[in-house]
Parts: sequence; C-alpha cells; structure tokens
Amino acid sequence: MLENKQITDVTGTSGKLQFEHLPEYARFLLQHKTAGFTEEMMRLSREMKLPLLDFFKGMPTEERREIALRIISIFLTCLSENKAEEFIEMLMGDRASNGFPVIRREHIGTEDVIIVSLIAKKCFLKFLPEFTTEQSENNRVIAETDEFFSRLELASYHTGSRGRDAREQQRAEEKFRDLLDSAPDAMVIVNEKGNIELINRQTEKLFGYPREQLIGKPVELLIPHDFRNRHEQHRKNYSNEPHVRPMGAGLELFGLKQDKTKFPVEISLSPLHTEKGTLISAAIRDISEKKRVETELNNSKRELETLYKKLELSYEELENSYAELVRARKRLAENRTRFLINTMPHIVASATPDGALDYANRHLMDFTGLTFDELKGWGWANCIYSADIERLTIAWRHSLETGKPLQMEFRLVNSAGVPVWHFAKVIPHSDEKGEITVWIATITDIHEHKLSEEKKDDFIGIASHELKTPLTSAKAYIQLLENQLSENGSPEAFLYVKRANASIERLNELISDLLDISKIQHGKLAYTFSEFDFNGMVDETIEYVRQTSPRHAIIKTGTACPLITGDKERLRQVCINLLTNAVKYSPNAMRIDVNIQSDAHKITVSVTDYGIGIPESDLEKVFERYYRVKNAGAYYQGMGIGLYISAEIIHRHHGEIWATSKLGEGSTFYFNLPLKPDNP
Amino acid sequence: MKKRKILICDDDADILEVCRLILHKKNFEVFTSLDCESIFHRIHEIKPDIILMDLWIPAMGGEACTKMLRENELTRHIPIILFSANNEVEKISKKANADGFICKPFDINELVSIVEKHLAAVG
Repeated sequence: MLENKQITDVTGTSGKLQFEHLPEYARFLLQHKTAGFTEEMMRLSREMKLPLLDFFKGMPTEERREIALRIISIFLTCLSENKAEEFIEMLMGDRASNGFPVIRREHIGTEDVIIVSLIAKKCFLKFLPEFTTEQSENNRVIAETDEFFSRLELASYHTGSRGRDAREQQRAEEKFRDLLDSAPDAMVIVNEKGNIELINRQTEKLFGYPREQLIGKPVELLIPHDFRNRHEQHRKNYSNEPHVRPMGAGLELFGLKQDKTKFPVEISLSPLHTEKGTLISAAIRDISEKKRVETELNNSKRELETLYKKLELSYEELENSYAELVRARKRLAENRTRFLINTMPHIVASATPDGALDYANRHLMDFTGLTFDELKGWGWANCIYSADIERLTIAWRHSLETGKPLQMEFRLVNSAGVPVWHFAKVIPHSDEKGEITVWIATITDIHEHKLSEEKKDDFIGIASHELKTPLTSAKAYIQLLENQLSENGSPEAFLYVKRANASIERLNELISDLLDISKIQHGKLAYTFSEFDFNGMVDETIEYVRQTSPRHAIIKTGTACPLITGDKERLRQVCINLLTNAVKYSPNAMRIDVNIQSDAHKITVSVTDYGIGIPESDLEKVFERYYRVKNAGAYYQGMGIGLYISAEIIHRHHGEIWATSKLGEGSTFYFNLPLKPDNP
Repeated sequence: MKKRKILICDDDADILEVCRLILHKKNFEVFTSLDCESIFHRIHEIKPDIILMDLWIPAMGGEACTKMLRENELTRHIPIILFSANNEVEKISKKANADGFICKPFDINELVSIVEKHLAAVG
C-alpha cells in the first residue's frame, strides 16, 4: 500500500508520469521494489515510448552505477523469463534495430543464452557510455559489466553443453566460435596451465599462425623471448586472483608473430570460471598503427617544439634587433637635434621656471668665452652689456611673474669685451596642467642690422634737419607776408597765406613724427618729466585744434586733479594727435567729445568722434606703425604714425591706450595715466 | 634809441636773410655769419649785444662754440640763444649753458620775443 501511495505521489495528481520524474521514479522502484520491477520498468518504457537508458540520463554517477548493476540483474531476470528481446528493446528503443546490426531477430528468443547475452553485452557496452559521463567511472562500470558477462557466458557455455547431444554441443561451439570470430580483437582463451584452449580468426590473422599450430600450445609462443619468463610469473599470479583488467598496466607489451616480428599490443584479461577450472580470456589488439601514429605524433610534436623554440629565438633576436633599431634611431634623432641646435646660427638656451639658465648651446659659450658653469643659473647676467642689464632683468622678472613671453634687444658682451646687439625671444613651455616647466630662448645676433638701422636713423635725423631748414625760412617769409597782408592786403590773399602757413605747420609735424619714430625704435625718444597742470594742457590743446579746425565743435567734460607728473610736451603731442585724428576721420560730423575722469589712482581721457569708424578686427592694429584706416588713404592725409607715437608716449608714462569703435558710427580713443608713476 | 646789435650764425643763407629782415624791422642792427670759424674776431669787431647761433654751425658746432664763449672772460657776458631744427635743442642748450633756445621752424613773434626777453635780462 505504501508503495502504491508513493507511486501516486510521484506520478502526480493527474496520475500521468512526467518525463522529468522518471529518474526519481526509477530510483524509487530500485530502492523499494525487487519483484515486479522489470514489469514496471517495461510498462513505463512502453507507455512513455522511451528507452530505459534515457531514464537515467542526468543522474549522479554513483546512482547510475547502481542502476547499471540493477539493469544487469534485470537482464538476467529477462533471460530466465525468455524476455531478452523485449529487454533489448526496452533498453535501447529504436536504437536496437537502427544502430546495432548484430542484433537480429533470429538471435533472440532462442535458448542460446550465450549468444543473447553476448549480444546484450555488446549493446550494453556500446550504450553504457551514454549514461555515464566520467571516463574513469565509465571504465570501471564497463570492466565490472564485462567481467559479469564473461562469467555468465562461460557458465552458460558449459551448462549449455551439459546434457545436450553432441550435435547440439557442436552447434553451440560453432556459434560460440562464430561469435569469437566476429569480435574485432584477437581473442585467446588460455587454461590454468597456460596452454591455449581457443583462438578466433583475428588471432590467426594477427600472429600468422594457423589455428592448429596454436591450440594446446603455451601462450608464451605469442610473446617475444625476452618477455616470456616474466609473463609466466604474471600469468600464475593472475590465475590465483583472477579479475577483469587490462594487462601490464603502464608497461609496453609486445606480441610475437610466426615470422618472429615483434609488434606492440594492448591486452585486456578476463577470467572465465568453468568446470574445467578458471580459463583466462585475453583480448589482444595490435597497436602498431596506433604506436606508429603516436611515434609520428611525438616526433612531430618534438619537431614542432624545436621549431617553436627556434621561432622563439628568432623572435627574440628580432625583438632585440628592433630595440637596437629604435635606439639607433633615437640616437640619430638626438644627434641630429644636437647637431641642429649646435649649428643653427642662434644661441639657444633654456631656463627653469624660476629663471635660472639650465642649458645653452655651444654658441653662447663660444661667443662669451665663458664656461657653462659660469653662465648657468643667473651667471649669464655677467655677459649682458652694463647699459642694458637693468632693462633686461626687469623685463625678465616681469615675464617670470606673468608667464608672458619676452622679446628684447640688448647687447651681449663677446669674449673680447665688445658689446654686440642681440635679439632674444624667450617663450614659456607649459605642461598639460598649464604649469610652466621650462623657458626656451633663442638669441640672435642683430648687430649688423642694428648698425644699419642706426645709419638709417642718422640719415632720418639729418634728412629731417635738412628738410626743416628751408621750411624755417619759408615759414618765416610766409609769416612776414601774413603780417604785411593783415595791414594792407586783400582779405583773400590773407586767407591764402594763412592756409600756406597751416600747411607748413603740418609739414613740420610730419617731419617731427618721422624723427620721433626712428628715435622710438631705439629707445632714444627723450622725455622730460615734471609736474604740470594737466587740465590746462588739455584746454590749450583743444584751443589749438579749434583754431586749425574751426568747423568741429570740441566739447570737453570732466576735469583731472590739478597737477600730474609727466612730459607735458609729449602728452600734448598725444592729445593733439587724438584730436586731429578725430577731426580728420569725421569730415561729415560737427562734434568731438573730450572727457576727463580721475580717481585716486589714475586719469582717464577719452576722445570721441562720430566719423567713419574702424573695423573691430583692426582695433588692436591701429597702434601699430604705419597702420591706416582702410580706404582712408585715398581721402585722408597722414602717414599713420601718430597713434604709434602716442602709444609709445603713454606706455612710457606707464599708462594704457586703447580704442572702441563702430564702423560708420565713429570711434572713441582712451588713454589713462597712473597718478603715481612707478618709474617717471 | 641806440640800435641793438645781434650776431646770427647759421650755415643757411636763407635763414640768415629772413632773420635779418625780421629783426631789422624790430630795430636791430643785424650781423650774420655762415660759420663760427672766426667768431672771436667777429665779436671783437661787432661787439654784439646778443648772439643767435645754429646748433649745427660749421667748424665746431653750436654746442662747443657756446661752451667756448662761456669760458672766455671777454665773451662770457653776451647772451647766447641756440636755435635748431633738432627738437632736443632745449636739452642741449641747457647742457651748453646757453641762455635760451628756439626751435626751427619758429614763429617770428616768438623769435623776437625771446631775443627781447634775453636782452632785457642783461639790461
């Protein structure tokens, strides 16, 4: 009752067994049922149309082994109940007829237990691996099964022979021999004395002996001479404790053919217990081919290994060569760089972020006649011409503080003590975080250029002087004429002469600008700093421009603090320049605004016109030398140097000058002056 | 009123001529020289009340000449005004210890007023 209940539990409420429940159910049957197990399994197999082997797939190894043994016992039961055929079908399903040609209907159902059991064994061994997965476990089950069947076969053979007539026995023997002959291995059955009882056809073929020459002969006949003594001993030991096992585990075994050739073999042994005593059945397989292949494989493997090693060595060599190449290339690049740096016609140097010289090319040492040790750090200051040293160090410190590049002309003293003009450009190099890592300097000899510039300046100086000489007398005569005409001339003539005078004044200014420019270029523009009334100066300037350009209304707003320190004449020059520009570039406007603002620190002056304006892209450029408002040249006079001079003057006062503008609407020019100049 | 004597040294004859015109109108007795080679001789001869000298006068140059006249007992008292197209004439005239300076080109009123001013200073 209990059993039935449990079966119902397993099959579930529907009463229909699910496939996934099968292993569990089979296990349950195994554990609780001995009688009727076969019927139940067969019933299930039929009902589910599922081979028995499939029931046990996916079971734990230990259980599968248990089931394998159980199945063997089921098979025995089937045999005794004449149900071998059904069993095979049940075990393997369709595979019994499709996959295994040895099984034929006529073999099954006869009384010949041996045949059926051998067939069953083959089926079983063939399909056993399907339900064990671990190789070692598999082997063990196969071995055990093998042994079991061997015992069964022989027992059957001998039991079967008893009480049968001679013909039947002979038939049985023939069938057994047929069976042996159908085995793929050479089969040799040996008695306890070591004599050969039975062989199959494969044995004849393999060893080259006809059957008659082997039957009754010691099995050692098939073994090479040098193995015979040992073999005898092993055989005796085996007979004392017979079991299924491969022979000579871990040893290389050899067979001996009739023609005395030795060949490698694999042998598995199984004992056969018979009335005559225990026989030993040996299955012998020629493994020459396997060995040959193995040897070839080994050779190939060794060759491959050698090749691989060679390859590895070649690769290593290649890598070394490549590394050498890379090094050589790097050396070449370094050499080339060094060559370039040392041969280029410039002094090249680098300095640390705090301004200490840490590298210089050969030229600096060659030029100054000093060693690198004397120049490094701040030692280079010793080779700067004394008149330039202060200017240079101030600029250099300024660059170090602000991180802005330095461009400067100064004189380096050569090894003979002669100052030679150089131009230095020093730029900072920053890392990815924006921190300055090094300053790179190129210093170029510009002495010749400088001398020719000086010559040019001298020329400009002389030329402007020469130009001014006739201008002086012309102006004086014009003025004399003006004086005379103001007393008794026609108003028209008086106007002409006044205009001539203004033109002469304009010419004079241009010549002065030219001279200033060339002086600015060499820092020779002279300044005279003193305290003066800034407002007064601006008023005077406005008055002056009003006289020459009476059409424009110049409107001044704001005032500055009364006294500032600066060069009054130069600042007046700036104001005149800004105002005359405003007039010049606003021919159609009537108004110019001048605004002065001052706070505690600075005065800011702006001059606004409502004229043609300046494109935004050009706003910075207007303070450059020779800049002209585009297209202005055709309409307006001037050499475009006024703003350049103004910027120079404002900068010399430590002030700033800039402009804002809108094209077509006018421009505003600003400058500011610090009230306490750092360096007046 | 006794005419005041002025000696003008300049290498440009046009300038000498126009200055003569201007100053003559202002009642000066004008003497001119194209160089300063025989300046002591001329001074001794003319006995000018004031000297107007170009900075680039041939022979020795206005600066050196002024210094020389300043060092001499007989000429030390004569006011010297340097005039030049060089816009650093102010600085140079101070250095040379001249009494005044005029930038070329000049305004004729300015020329007259400066000359008058320095004459008045020495009485």
